[in-house]
Amino acid sequence: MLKVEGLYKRFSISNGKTIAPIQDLHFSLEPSTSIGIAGPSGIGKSSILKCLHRTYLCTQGNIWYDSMLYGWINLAEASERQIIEIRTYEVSYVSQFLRVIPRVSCLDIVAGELFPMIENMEAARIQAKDILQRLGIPEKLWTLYPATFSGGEKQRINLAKSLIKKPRLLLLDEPTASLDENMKEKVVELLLEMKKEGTAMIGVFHDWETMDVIVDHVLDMTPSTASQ
Amino acid sequence: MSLVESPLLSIRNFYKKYGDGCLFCTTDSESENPYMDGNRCLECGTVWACRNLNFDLYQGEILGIVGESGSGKSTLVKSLFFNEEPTYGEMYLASYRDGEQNVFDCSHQTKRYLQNHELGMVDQNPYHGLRMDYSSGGNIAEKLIAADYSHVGQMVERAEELLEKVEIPVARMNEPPRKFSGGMQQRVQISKALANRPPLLLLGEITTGLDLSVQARVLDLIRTIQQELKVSMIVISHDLGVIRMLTDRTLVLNQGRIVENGLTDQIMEDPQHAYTQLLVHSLL
Repeated sequence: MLKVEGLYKRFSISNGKTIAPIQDLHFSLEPSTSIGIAGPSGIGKSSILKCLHRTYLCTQGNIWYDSMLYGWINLAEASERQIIEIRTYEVSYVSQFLRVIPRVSCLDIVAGELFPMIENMEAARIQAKDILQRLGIPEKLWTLYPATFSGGEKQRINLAKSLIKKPRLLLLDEPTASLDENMKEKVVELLLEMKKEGTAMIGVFHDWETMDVIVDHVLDMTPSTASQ
Repeated sequence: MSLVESPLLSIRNFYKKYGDGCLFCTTDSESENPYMDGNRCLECGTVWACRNLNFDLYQGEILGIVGESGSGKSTLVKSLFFNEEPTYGEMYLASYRDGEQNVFDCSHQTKRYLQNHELGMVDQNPYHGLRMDYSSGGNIAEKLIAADYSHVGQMVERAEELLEKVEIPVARMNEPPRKFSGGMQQRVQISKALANRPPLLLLGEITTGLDLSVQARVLDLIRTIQQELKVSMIVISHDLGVIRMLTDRTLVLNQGRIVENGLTDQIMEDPQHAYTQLLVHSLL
C-alpha cells in the first residue's frame, strides 16, 4: 500500500550550506505489516516519517500510497487539500510532543479528532473514553487540561489522538519513549491489535524490545547502508 | 467527499495600492524592481500593500494568513469584507452566481447584501466592529436586521443563543460593550459576526491585546465554532502560535506578496522561503 521510490530530502540552511538526511531511499510496505527505522541519532529517521506525512517537502522522489479516497496517489505531489483529507481519514502521525489548544480537556482533545466522521460530541466522547482507558489514563485526568500532565501521560494522549481514528497507515515517532514497562505493554498490545486489523506502521522506536515485538522489517539508516 | 472540490472563495490577481502609482511601479513583475524599496515606489511614494495575491478557500477549512505589520494582511481582509476597494483583482464566491461573477465588480448594493448574508467579520479592534454604546443584544440585532430578520422574539432568542455560545451571561445582554473587558468585547464581536450564520468568517488579529487566559478561551471558541457550524474561516495573525493552533493551511505574506503557502505544519517545520524561516526562528 506504500511504495517509496528514490526519495531525497535536503535542507538549505543559512550561508548556503545544506544538510541531506535522506538520499535515494527505496522501500515498500503492505497492510498489516510494519517497518522499523533504525540508525544513530540525527541520521534522519524522523525526517522519513515527516516526509511521508508531508510535514517536510521532499526534495526529489515519489511516495506512492494506495489511498481509500483517491486510489494510488503520490504523497510527494498531492495537493494540500488532498493531504489534509488523507491525514484526517487515513494516515496519522504520532509525534513525540503533544501540542494542543490550551484549556481543552484531554477527553475533548481526543474526542475532537473524530469530528470529521462523527458529528455528535457525546458519541465521540464515548470512543475517546474507551481509548483513554485502554492506554491507562486514569479517569480523574479526563476532564483536566493536559498542559500539566507528565511526559508519559502527554505521550499517551498523543497516541490516543491518532489511534482513535483507526488509521490505515500509522507513522510512529518514538511512541514509547517516556513510558514505563507496564504502560509500554498496553501500548504495544493496542498497536498489535490494530496491525492485525490491517493498519500498516512505520516507526522509529527507542527501545529494541518494543521494536522486536511490533516490527516485521528493519530499515537501517546507518551510513553506507541507507537503503533496505 | 467528492474527489474534485470547488472552492468557496477564490481570489485572483489581487492588487491594492495606496497612492497614485507611476510608470515605474505599475508594471509588476516578480523580479526585483530597482525603482522600489520593498513595496514602496521610490519615484512616486506609492505603497503597494498587496501585490498579485491568488488563493482559494474551501468549505469548512481555516486558512491562516501570517505576516508582520505592514505585510498587507489587514488590507486584504478589509477588501474581502468590501471595506476597501481593490486596485485590481477578482473575488469569486461559490454562493453567489455559482462563483462566476467577480464580486468586486458588483454594485454597492450587492456588496452590502453579501456582507450581510454571506460574510462575517471580526475586527482586530472591537471599537471598529461594535457600537460601543448600544446594548450587546442590540449589536447582534443590528446584524440580524441587516440579514432580513424581522421578528423581535426570534431576534432576542437568537441573541441569547449566541451570547451563551460565547459565554457572555445572558443577564448582561442589555449592557453596552463599552462596559465589558477587552476579551468580552471580542466575544460579543464574534457572536455578532456569527449572527447571520455566514458560511465565511474573516478574523483579523483577534487575539492581539488579550491576555493569555482570555486568548486561550477565544481560540477554543473559534475551534468549537468551526467544528460545530462548519464555517470556513480566514484567520489573520502575526502570531505563528495562533496560526499553528487553528489552521490547516497557511499563506505567508511579506511586503504585499505571498512568499510561501502550504500546510501549516510544513510552514512551521520545513519553511522554504527565507522570510518564513526568519519568522519561524523568531517564535518563542
